[in-house]
Amino acid sequence: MSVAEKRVRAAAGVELYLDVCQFLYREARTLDEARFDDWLAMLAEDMTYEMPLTLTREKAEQARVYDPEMQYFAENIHSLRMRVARLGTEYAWAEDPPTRTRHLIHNVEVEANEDESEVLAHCAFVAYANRGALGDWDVLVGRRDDVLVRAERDWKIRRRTLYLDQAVLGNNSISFFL
Amino acid sequence: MLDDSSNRGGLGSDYGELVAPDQTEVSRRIFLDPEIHAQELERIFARSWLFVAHASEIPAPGDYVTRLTGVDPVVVARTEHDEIKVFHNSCRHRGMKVCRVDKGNTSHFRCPYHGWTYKNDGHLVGVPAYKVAYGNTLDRGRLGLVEPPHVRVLHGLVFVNWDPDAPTLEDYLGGLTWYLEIVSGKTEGGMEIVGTPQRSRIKMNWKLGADNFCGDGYHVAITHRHALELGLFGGGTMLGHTIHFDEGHGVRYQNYPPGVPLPEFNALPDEVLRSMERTLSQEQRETLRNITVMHGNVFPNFSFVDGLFTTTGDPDLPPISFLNVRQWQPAGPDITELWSWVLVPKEAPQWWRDASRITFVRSHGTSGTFDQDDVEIWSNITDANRGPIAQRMAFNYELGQHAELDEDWAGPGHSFKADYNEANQRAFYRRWAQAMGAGVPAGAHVP
Repeated sequence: MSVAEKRVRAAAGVELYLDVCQFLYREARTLDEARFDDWLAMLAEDMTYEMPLTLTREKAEQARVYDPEMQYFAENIHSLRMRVARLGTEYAWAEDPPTRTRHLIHNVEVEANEDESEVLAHCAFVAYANRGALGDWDVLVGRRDDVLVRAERDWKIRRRTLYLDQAVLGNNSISFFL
Repeated sequence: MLDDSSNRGGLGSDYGELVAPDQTEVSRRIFLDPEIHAQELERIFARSWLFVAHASEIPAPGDYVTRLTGVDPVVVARTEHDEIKVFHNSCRHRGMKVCRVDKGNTSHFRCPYHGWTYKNDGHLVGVPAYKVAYGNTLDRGRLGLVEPPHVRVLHGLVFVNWDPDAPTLEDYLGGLTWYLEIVSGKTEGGMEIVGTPQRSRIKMNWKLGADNFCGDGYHVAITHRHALELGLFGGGTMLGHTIHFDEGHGVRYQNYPPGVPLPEFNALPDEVLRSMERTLSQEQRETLRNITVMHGNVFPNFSFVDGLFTTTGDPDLPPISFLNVRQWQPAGPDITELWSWVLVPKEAPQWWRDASRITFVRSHGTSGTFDQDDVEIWSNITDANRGPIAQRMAFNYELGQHAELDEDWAGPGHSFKADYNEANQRAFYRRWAQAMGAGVPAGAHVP
């Protein structure tokens, strides 16, 4: 549990809300423009980045829809740096030619701690991906919880948890960041 | 060698002719043709031993998971008598699925259509309005959920076979059992699944995955070159063995050369190494001493990979191995549903289990740096080979025909001291052609 979650949080005021939204949209554009070093600079050194598996379970088991033990992403700053370094080699076939992505961030809600040094941002995401000359495309949809911390000039992402609205992935593999 | 000048690249349309007699050429049709795919479901998947679950996925009475045998859905359940039962996931009345979730715990499965209710051992125990509707004449005893005639658990791996005349699992596996012991029988406590399987749909035929996992050492240096360049995997010139079996199975060992500073025995924790001294023979243990990876495929579609990873870039994560088992489910001629599990030894401490899981997710999971590139290639093979021109051509399997058998290899099977060798794939397609063409039950001994 992060610092923000331990403290009493309150819905952010308009100014803070817009500031956080601007950051999230800017991050999405950074990914869509494939500026991955700039993206890494938006992450905190102690960040975690996880996407648990989504299961199909009975209604009575809806509290246990996300697998607590297995993930599609189990990353930290070091492994994300390695993934970006991989993209810098000439042998990242899954991303050369690059996937066209568009990260759409919706339904943003922002909660802040008392001194507004840390916020919890909930959002819904739609990630569109299209490769090569194929007419079909992949869409990953889900919700995301981000913990952002104030850094010198901007926010940094300390924790990102992604919850997919899909149990069986339909798109070959996931070769891009969410 | 087949004559490429003929209309079909020399390969005929009979199933037996789609694979060259020496297996150095395989028709591209078998990776896309809907009719061949439909025949595979009957001739291969309805007759072969298929993996459905690991016993650790259903540890308690009443636990169940839903799985696939080919495209036929099954429920794998543990009864109150601690027995593992497998049955077709469809009601005997109108065929509705009796279970529509991935996993859970229950004593009964009730069909939502008319309410026929089955105990978790498959018996039909409830029929609404039994007397009024059927006048007491319905024989409930013969209308239990349909079970495969053969269910066997080997080192926790649950296999089923729908063919009443199937050979035993032991005969079907042949010498491969020796290697499956190394994979899944290495500890006294047994292995256990971490969480649930990753599932993804890949635009390819299931055989491309089986082909790769049964012994493709040739693709590593190019497909996964990023990992060699960044120092994620291996070191120096790789050495290795490819081992194949007449039953169509294949195993490949890739070793690092002497002097490379990598941990021995797959970086397994001490608890497991001690246990291994009692469970495995000296010869079996030695095969793990300096491997970067061992992987293989049990005909038709059950693969395993036990690999040592140097780093994922994470200073807190030492070089560590993971055991990944996976199934290439034949969802369609050009669609494979990949099911992918991670197994850890029960004796392994928590830090090792976490490190092993994380290393899998980052390298061989659906978002993994290795799997991404394999899948990009397999799906583009599929796109390139849909047309009538491509369908006249063959894939080439001549690699390593000059390799010599390694008579000193301690394990069973036909072992070649060669990392670049397609003998395993040739054995896979020989088995495939026999199962498809001559109607020989899968697993029967190939002379």
